[in-house]
Amino acid sequence: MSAATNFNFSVIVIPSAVRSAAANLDFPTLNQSLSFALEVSSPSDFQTLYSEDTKGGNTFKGLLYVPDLDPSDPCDNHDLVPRNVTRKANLPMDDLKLVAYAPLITQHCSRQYMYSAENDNVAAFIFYGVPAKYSNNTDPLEGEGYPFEYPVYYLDGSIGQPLMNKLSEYSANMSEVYNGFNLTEAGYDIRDYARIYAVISTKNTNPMPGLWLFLLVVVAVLLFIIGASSLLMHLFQFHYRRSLRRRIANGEVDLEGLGVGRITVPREFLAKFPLYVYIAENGGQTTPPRQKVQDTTAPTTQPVPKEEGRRKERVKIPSAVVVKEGVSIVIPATITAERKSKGKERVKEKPRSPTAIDATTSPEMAEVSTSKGLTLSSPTTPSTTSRSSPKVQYSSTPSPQPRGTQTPTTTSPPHPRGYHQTSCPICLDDFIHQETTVRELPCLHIFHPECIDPYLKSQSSLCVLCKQSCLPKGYVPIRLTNSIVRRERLLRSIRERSREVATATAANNGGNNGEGGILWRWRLRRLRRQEQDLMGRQALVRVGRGRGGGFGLGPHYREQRVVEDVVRPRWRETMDRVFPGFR
Amino acid sequence: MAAVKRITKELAEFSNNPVPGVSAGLASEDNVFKWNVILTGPQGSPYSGGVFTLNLILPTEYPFKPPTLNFTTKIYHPNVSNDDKGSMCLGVLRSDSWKPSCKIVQVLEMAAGLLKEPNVDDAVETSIADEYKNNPESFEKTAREWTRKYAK
Repeated sequence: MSAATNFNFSVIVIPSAVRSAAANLDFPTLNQSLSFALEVSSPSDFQTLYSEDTKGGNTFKGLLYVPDLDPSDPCDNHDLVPRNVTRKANLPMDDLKLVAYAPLITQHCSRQYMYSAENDNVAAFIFYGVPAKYSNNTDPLEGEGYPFEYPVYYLDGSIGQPLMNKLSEYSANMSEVYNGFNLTEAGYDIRDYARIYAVISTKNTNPMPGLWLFLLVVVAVLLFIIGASSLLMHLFQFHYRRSLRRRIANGEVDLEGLGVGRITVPREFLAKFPLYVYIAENGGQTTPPRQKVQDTTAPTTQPVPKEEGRRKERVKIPSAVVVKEGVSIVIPATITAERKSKGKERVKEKPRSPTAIDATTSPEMAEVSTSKGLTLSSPTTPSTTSRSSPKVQYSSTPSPQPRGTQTPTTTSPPHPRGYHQTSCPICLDDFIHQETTVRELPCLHIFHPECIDPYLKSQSSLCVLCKQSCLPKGYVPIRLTNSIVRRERLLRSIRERSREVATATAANNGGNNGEGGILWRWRLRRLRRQEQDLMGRQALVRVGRGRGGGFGLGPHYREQRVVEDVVRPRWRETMDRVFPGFR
Repeated sequence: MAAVKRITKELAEFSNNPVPGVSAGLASEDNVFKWNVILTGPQGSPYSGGVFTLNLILPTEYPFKPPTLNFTTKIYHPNVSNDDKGSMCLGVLRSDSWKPSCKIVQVLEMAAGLLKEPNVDDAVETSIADEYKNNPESFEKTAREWTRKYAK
């Protein structure tokens, strides 16, 4: 669709010498001060009636003329179309480009003009409106399908009729046209032709006019901004996630404190926590009940056949545990190697050592260590092999984990290491010296494996006594999501603030209660708000009872489980995906 | 069941060595997770002469999770919430500081100790705590009044 934007009518001079325009209308315009020129550009003055399927580009130009009709045709109303108007015959050549011009009288007349124009191969047709007494002002395009290939325009009658009159002034030779005398005086050849030349400028009415284009640009810019900020946010989130992962790996983050749900100890890590046979701190010498246990074992170690049976049974308990849990006890490489080589030897030794009867790990290791000469200065009285061996086992098995500060055994001498703990804190049963198999956590606290293992596997990764994580450093047990990152950052900032507040309080208590008080209260309020925010946003459900409010944040959140809000609207999810930093 | 075993053990231990001023027993024979506790107000405290009944609820995850203590008798105390729950705020009963090695006996001892001397730092009823700190006479008066009114 190409709608007209501008009609330009001017007078050109076609020299008489030119016999063929060769479709080229590059003729000079007549001096405008001596002739006529008209420009119609006000959209209210014209209409584009038809411009589809038309040939030609953005402009249609040609000499303006009125198509010939049959002389008897009543459409050639000479009230409207002057007799001397420019007709085809008044044009100097046949191959000139033409623009037909006619009044819009009736549909029949319009058709007549248009068929005639079609024969003349016009570039365009311009109708103009006429007073109602001549016309029923029918749309020339009405009726059966429009068969013409040229565009049709309509000019308002107030412009169209004077133009028609002008057209009649430029149909004869140079001396007879309007102002012809002056023209010839001005040097125009009298044989040349001065004719009205029409240029119709059109513009492709593209489906998206200016406003739409503008909107499109705005939308594009918006999209770009959204995309860019989304990308930036994702980058930042990625960076934060990576840094959190690094900090978790360095053990700087209290994962349980983040309240990201239950963190448990996977089976394979649990399997690495050593199982030992319990040794009392002082070798079971002082505490009467444990003494008693030892007393019963001491005399019975030597009678071989009977003790063998007992031993077997006793040692089988941990072995059963071992098999059931799929556990392999961590044995230092040297000892493992030793053990392999000692395998056959052990068989030979079998009758000699009562502990070596079973192929279970702990006595075996003990034996190996003993034969390696690792028995360290044992303060105990000369004892049987079976009694001293587990002790050696302790000292020769270095704990691969870093020791916690709160553990009772850190300060004890490194050799024959016993335990302060005399009973399992979970079931409150006493450990039996050299008999009970105990699970030692990385913090060096010991428990019955059957008591602590289910808890670590299903409830928590923290030691129940010192609340130290049992997970190895650098292990990231959870998928780090942006919400965890946010949580961690918020918690950290709150903790920092609370420290600030604490200092502020301290300073405040020392000094007066003036400005500092206001600042302090403001910070306090902000802190509380952030805290509430955190709780609200994460839809925390408090399990168990905590204090209301307060800043004991680290452990304070420990028991709060994050309940993923089930009813989060879809748009928020999308929003979250696009702008991971908000919320 | 590990929890039942341990609770039974603790109950036996408590019956053998009762804590003065505290009597406790199962609320019903077939449920070891619910204990009835009776505290007698210690001499020299505003609660003296009062008899306070409490519910001790042990979670099924016990001893990994702390028990909860609720006063069924109304009491004017900074560490006991002044609502129909009457929950008692004890530091060791907070799940983050709870240790499984802590026994019920110790919890009960601490509860009895709180009657003797409230712990304002751990207070749930901050207004009562403030009153206790700043205006002990009026606190004692109200506490005594409540004891007379509710804990006889």
